[in-house]
Amino acid sequence: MPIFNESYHTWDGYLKERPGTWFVIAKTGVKLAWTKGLIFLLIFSIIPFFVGAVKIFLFSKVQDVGIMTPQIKKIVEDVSFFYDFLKGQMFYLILISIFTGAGLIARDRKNKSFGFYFSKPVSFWDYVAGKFFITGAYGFLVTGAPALVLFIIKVLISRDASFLSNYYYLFFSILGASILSVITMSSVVLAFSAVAQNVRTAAIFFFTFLILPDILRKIFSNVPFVGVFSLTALLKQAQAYIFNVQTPYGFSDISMITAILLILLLSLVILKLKVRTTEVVS
Amino acid sequence: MLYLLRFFTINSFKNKKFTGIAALCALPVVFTLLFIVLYSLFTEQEINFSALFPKISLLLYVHFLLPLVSLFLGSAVIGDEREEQTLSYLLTRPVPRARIIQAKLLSSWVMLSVILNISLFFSYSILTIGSGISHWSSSLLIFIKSGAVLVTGAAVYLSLFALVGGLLKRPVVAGLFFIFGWEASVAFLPGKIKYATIVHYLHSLYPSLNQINNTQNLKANILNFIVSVKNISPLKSIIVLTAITGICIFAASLLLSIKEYRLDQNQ
Amino acid sequence: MKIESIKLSKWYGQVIGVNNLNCSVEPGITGLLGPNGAGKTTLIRLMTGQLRPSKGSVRINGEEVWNNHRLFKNIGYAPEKDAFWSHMTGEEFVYSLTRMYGFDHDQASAMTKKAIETVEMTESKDKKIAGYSKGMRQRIKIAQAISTDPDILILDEPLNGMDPIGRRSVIDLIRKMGKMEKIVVVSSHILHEIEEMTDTIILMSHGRVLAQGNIYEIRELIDTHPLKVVIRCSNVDVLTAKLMEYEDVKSVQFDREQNQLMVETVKPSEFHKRIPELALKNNISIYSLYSPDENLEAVFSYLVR
Repeated sequence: MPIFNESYHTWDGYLKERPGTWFVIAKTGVKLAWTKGLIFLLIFSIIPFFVGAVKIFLFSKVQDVGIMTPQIKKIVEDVSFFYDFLKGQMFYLILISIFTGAGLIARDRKNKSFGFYFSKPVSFWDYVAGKFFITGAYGFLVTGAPALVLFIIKVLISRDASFLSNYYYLFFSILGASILSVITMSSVVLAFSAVAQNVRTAAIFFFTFLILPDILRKIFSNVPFVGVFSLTALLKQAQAYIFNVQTPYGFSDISMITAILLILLLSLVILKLKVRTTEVVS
Repeated sequence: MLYLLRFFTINSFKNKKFTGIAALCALPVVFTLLFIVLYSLFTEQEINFSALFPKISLLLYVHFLLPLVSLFLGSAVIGDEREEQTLSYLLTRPVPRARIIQAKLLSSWVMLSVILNISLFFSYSILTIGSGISHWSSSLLIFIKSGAVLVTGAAVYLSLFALVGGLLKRPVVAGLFFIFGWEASVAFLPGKIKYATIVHYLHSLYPSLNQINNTQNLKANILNFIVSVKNISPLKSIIVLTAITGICIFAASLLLSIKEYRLDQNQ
Repeated sequence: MKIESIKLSKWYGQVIGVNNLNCSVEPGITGLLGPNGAGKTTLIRLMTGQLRPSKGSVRINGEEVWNNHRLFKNIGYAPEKDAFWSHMTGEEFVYSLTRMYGFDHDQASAMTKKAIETVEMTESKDKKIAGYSKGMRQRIKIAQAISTDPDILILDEPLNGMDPIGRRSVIDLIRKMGKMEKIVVVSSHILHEIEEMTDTIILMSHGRVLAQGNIYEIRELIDTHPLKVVIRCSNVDVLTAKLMEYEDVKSVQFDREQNQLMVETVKPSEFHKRIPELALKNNISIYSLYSPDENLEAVFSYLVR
């Protein structure tokens, strides 16, 4: 029997990062997030979609019969129907973001799992993109996806192609508005998840960050610029801008864009600081 | 029981979570101070305390901070011990399981009541001190009554969320849905459906609301979004709230007594 | 005083933790052995009332354990998990858990001091547990278990992460408690640790008890695996020839250069009695005699497949 000589080799190479690593993290996370509680929450959040679909269907029938009041016309033809729908889904987007996103990085920190990720050819951007996709996917499922389906239903139910030819841009408005909301919410919830020691803390502080400025806006309505600190107000203002409808709040477009960009930047900075393999403990 | 109560109370204050809760409860004080500064910079009007304090204490404390921090603490009554895996120490002491949860609830209630009232006191003082010490002392009764509402609300919400925390694996989302979905909308609907909320009964105990409702000047009522609370008396509210608290504590204690906790499972 | 399980079963959904387990633990040290996933920790959690039996029962002194907090007055338990209220010092941790037994401040302080001294943690008792090494955390866990001098001590993997010196002191402590007629249950998957502490074991695998009792008695019962005995003597050829005459001797391998033979026998007791007689009759000097097989590892490997 031959004897093989196994020599010891020193390898001077480097671990080449493979494209698509983030997708592995994303796919696994999406599967893991799919629990009974999430299904229940999704079902709840889809109810407005069914209400909207019934509205579109019923009022198109009313239109067929020839009864057209200003309220019905608003539902059937006014683009603010989709804007109102996305506005209404904001609360569910918050809950879904908490449910899917609050624990994504907090659990990895608590269980000291960063070492597992970054000892492989996984970069910081792969990690963040993967986590981002998890909460973004479910967020889009309750915002953009049902709104787009409602748009398609409206197109299909229309008597002729006039709705599509007049309002084709709504497709892109819905896509843009929902993606903006999802990106912003996901960034913020991941930032809180990176800072918090556990899921509960991340969820509560994220929620506080969202809701408290709204309450302060109601109390201190005499003080200008208070609304700029409210993320939900900023997103609603941005959505109104995208849909080209009347903006609900008084602050300018420049301050709105600046505030949103600042929030995104701050979230990224927090993620960069907190997502590390080693942590110095004093 | 006394030692358990002391143990959990000291634990609560030494826990890192306490810093977070204190920071949360400090936010209204910070914003009130900021408001005073910005208001005095941008307007020349005098601050109307009687208009502003009820707004702050009701919207910021009763509707927001109280239920949110109660959710944070209530869902952590067993959740924290389970996550930290220290539950096995508690369950293997010669102490009835129900007593553990009751002691934890009581210590959380003490901590929450103290922190909320300290925060409310500072907010109240910041708003009133500008108008002079006499104004501060003459309106002290409103502060005390508002504080009492917070203490009562804390007991109810804590026990409710302790039960929810024991029943559900992820109580925070359910709790947020209850507070900011159910209570935020249903409490202001006409009809009897608002009896199915806790905040409706807290409204009836609220001093400024009662005062305002006793006047004819409803149009001047800055809380004019609140539907009439005339149809439930404070006494009935206290009885209902006490009953809810008792039932939730009993159910949560029973749950801990009969439920087993596999600490090797992920949260 | 006794811990007994009667037809005890515990399942988690489709997974069986323990399966129709009947065993009894008497005063003294009992090693609870088994590979990972055998059901040791499940059995311990059932014994300490943390889990409710799906079927059957586990009783301490005739009383059901589940939801019976009064029984815990006499039980000290050190869990396997590394879990503490990390803001506490070692002393605070032991003291707090001792006070929960109903002792007043002075009693609990004295008990805490004694327990900490026993586990040799006096120098570090005022430091926060978060700053302890793994071995120190294990010791402080054991301290809280022994602080009230319980009649029943249940230790789940107590030597995990301990250095050799720490191991030695904990083993000595466990041996001391076993001599005091207390029930001590020690769970481990490290065989030589258990062998150092006790001869009495409960061997588990796949949720079942494979064997219970004295290691050597168990070994004798395993007749499907003949016992190996190694003998060094002055006359290998003669001894081999004599041994081969007996039916219970299944095989003999010998090495003339080493003056050594290895015998496989299915009747170890009779074999051991026979050797001195044969040696005397045939004028053979026996230099050494040992069994590489009469240990826990052999028992473990034969029974656990």
